Amino acid sequence: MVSGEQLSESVLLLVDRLSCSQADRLGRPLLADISFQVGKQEHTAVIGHTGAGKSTLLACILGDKNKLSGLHLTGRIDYTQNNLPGTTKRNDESWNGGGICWIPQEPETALNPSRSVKAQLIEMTCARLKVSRADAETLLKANFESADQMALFVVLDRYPSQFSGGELQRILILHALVGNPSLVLADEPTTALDEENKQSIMSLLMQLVTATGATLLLLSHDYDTIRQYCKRFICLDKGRLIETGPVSQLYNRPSDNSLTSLLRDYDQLHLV
Amino acid sequence: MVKFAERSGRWSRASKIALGIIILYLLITVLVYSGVIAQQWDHASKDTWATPNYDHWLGTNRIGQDILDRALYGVMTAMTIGFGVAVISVFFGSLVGAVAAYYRDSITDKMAQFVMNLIDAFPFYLLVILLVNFLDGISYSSILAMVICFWTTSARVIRNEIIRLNETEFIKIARLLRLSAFRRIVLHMLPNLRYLLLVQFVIVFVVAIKTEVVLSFLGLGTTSGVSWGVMVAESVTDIGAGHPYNLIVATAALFMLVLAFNILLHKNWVRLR
Repeated sequence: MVSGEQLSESVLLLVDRLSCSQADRLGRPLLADISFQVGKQEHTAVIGHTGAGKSTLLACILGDKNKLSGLHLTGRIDYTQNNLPGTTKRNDESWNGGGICWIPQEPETALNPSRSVKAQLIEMTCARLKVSRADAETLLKANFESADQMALFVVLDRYPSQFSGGELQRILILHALVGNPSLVLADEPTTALDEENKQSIMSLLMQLVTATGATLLLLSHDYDTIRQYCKRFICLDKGRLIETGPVSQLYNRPSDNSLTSLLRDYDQLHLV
Repeated sequence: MVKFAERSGRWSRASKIALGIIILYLLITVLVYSGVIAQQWDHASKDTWATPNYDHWLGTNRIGQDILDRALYGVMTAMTIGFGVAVISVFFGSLVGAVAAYYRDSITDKMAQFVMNLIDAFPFYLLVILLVNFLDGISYSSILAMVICFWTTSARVIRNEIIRLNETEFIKIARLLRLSAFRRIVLHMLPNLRYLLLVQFVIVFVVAIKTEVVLSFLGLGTTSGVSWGVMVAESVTDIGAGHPYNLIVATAALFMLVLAFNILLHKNWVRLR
């Protein structure tokens, strides 16, 4: 990948030599020289051990000031829809504009326990898409309707504690996909859920992603899910990108030892 | 353990009675303030140290003042001091706590912490007594002294809670979405602080009333009216003469109010969350 290269039509997201020089506790940089690109509708999985830098990468793409404050970033992230000028000193307008959406890891903590879910969803939709409250509600309703989840929509006036974790994640996914985003960032969306919910939530997510023509960037430890839904993968280890390629490569022989050990760990965990 | 009545959202009988007592005390306060009842609290009749009779339902004290009227007037004194101290110290404490949390680890925060530690380092009765002496001559000096001592707890609790809330995911999302500071504070912070504020309010209210009784007993309390503490102080001579009514009435009135607040808070804190 050459720096300064214009994004071609088929590339949605381009990360070019992204580094975060801030060292972690062990003295390694959080992110070191990461370059990859994500094509349109080329669902990509980001894998790696805990602490590999997956969440930092996600925060960079999202432009999350909370997580990035105090970090020194270099490199470039380009995102086709907005064609932001190529530095990582971007603001979070891409997320605000509805182009990029984000699904949290733990749905329970992502919502204020003291306010009704509906009020919060409308507030978030208004802030993201810059629409009026009435429009936001219409958009939300349309999304719930098209996904056949009206049973959830009619009880949205309740408080977060009155929903189960699976229901909340479903609600947040349905909310995230409002406004037809082109890139969906999912930060281990099923980690906090049980096996049964995992399946139904992933299929709901994929149904919505397919319907809107969006592209999924999935952070996950669940290789079964990745094999089922993703086309490519990016493997991070200790802040470095160690391997990238089509997911089929995960079935066959991964070239890097670290990735091999990652997969072996996973298989051992799940065969017991 | 959470009892069924609390979980189902109904008020338990104890909380109903407690609420009734507080409403009754508020009513008495209003009636005394507007001059309907207990206007004879200062009037010394010839009938000294009377046992309860038709004219004086709860008897009279050493100089013939009606104990019932004095107790009712004491309700107003206690409620005024309780509300005054609780409202001012919780408000001021929360303000300091919020500022300290916002400028966390800055010099402002450290100074606030230092002042709080300094105030809390003194045994608070001694500090209140010292301040009341120092502020002698200012009206409501006892309220002021108590506020100076009691705001620190609220400030600490609110500071810690705001710091905790600031780290929660939903506040981060609100910031990421660039919601206005007004929305973040009023819609996302305050609703999550309200039960803490209420608990702080009740605790300070109860401690203030009890402190006022101690201050009055020591002769440092209210000078313009009568309070339960004054009655307890009077009863020191009464008891020796075999007239316990002053003591019984004043402590019963104090006991009921404190118990009512404690029951109300204890039985309903689940609901608050």
